[in-house]
Amino acid sequence: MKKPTMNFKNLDAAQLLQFAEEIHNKMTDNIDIFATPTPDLATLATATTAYRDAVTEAAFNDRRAISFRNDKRGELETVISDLAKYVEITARGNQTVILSAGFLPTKDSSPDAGVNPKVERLAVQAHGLGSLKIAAKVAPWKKARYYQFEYRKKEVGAEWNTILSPTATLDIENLEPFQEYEFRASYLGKSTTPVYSDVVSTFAL
Amino acid sequence: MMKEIVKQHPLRPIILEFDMAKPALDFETDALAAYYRQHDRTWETKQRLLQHKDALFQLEVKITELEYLLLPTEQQLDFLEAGFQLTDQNELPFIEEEFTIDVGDFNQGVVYHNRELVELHGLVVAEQEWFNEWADFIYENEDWFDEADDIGDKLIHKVFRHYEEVSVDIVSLDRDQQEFFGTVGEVTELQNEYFDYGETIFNMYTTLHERSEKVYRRAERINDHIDKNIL
Repeated sequence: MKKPTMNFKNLDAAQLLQFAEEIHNKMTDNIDIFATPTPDLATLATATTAYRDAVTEAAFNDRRAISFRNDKRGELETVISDLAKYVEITARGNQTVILSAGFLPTKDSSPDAGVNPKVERLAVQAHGLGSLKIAAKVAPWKKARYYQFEYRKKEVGAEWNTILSPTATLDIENLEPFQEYEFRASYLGKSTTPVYSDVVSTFAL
Repeated sequence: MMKEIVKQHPLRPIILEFDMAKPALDFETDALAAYYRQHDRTWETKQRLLQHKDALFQLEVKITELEYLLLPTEQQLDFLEAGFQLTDQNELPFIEEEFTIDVGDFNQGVVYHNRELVELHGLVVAEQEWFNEWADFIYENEDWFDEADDIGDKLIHKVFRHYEEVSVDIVSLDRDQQEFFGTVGEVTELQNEYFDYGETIFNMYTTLHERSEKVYRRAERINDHIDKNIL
């Protein structure tokens, strides 16, 4: 979800003034969207003018003027921050609304936040007697990059073994005869966090 | 008497002037420590971004290599499918000299490609995790400064307000801080480049993966055909 960026700390004086003016102009133009800005636009205009005057005064390395200018910058930044919060609430993540207030939208949070769906229909079946092989199969998922199959002996403290397969079916080999094994599987799509199926079990033959 | 003191920092030299006749006040010492801390954090961020941008470049090399390896395999598949009459497609690329395709070698090539792709997947996942975590962090925080740095900002502001009492000359602090903001801007630009590059690389990987999947399926179909009809 987009929100207006508050990252104006590293703007120099000219850039900050330009930014403040842009917000004022655009919010005035789009008064139908931003009907009751808090603080109001007159407050923004006053803070902008005060900062501009202070910047001019401080151009001659006078300590008092520099200190005063920093105070005025702080006040202007507070007004812009408060307006950003108002725009954030009004926009509700809509990038166009944020831009029409003169703010820049933030970068999206992680673009690949899509969660992998839980694997359905994990089925396991032993191959013929003496094969020591089990066929595991899940319902294919179009967006899967890999199918992560995991298995372990059904006994206390057994660790999961992981096999990545590019296909939805996999033969798991070299198992111990007449040993019961547990299986689970996950799709791996753009998200790399596994979401496991229910655990199923069968005997290797 | 004013004295210029240069503190060498890996991000940039911090050059401030001090009035040696005035003792440093406690809040002033804290403010300057906070200012150095902001430099530390920006430097650490820059290093991390450079390191992960390098890692993305290594991924790009490997992805390009595996893309390149697919080309002859895809061409061999065209001929094998035509040879085994598994396709209606009759238009084959023209090859001037006589040639043979060893199915064993072909399969070995596909298996090698698949193994390399699985290995690459692990590397892509590691980089993508860092990328996602950083994107989430920046989405929430907007920059890499934390609450301690916000307190530091207030202390630095206090130094500007008490310009008559503090030892540091605020003209030099103001100049130095503006330069620091410029450097923060450069690191922000590096971060934007990193995000753009990361998205490009992860999309390249997705494309490679989809293309490879098609090749693997076609190779499986040929092997099934050989198993059923020839062996």
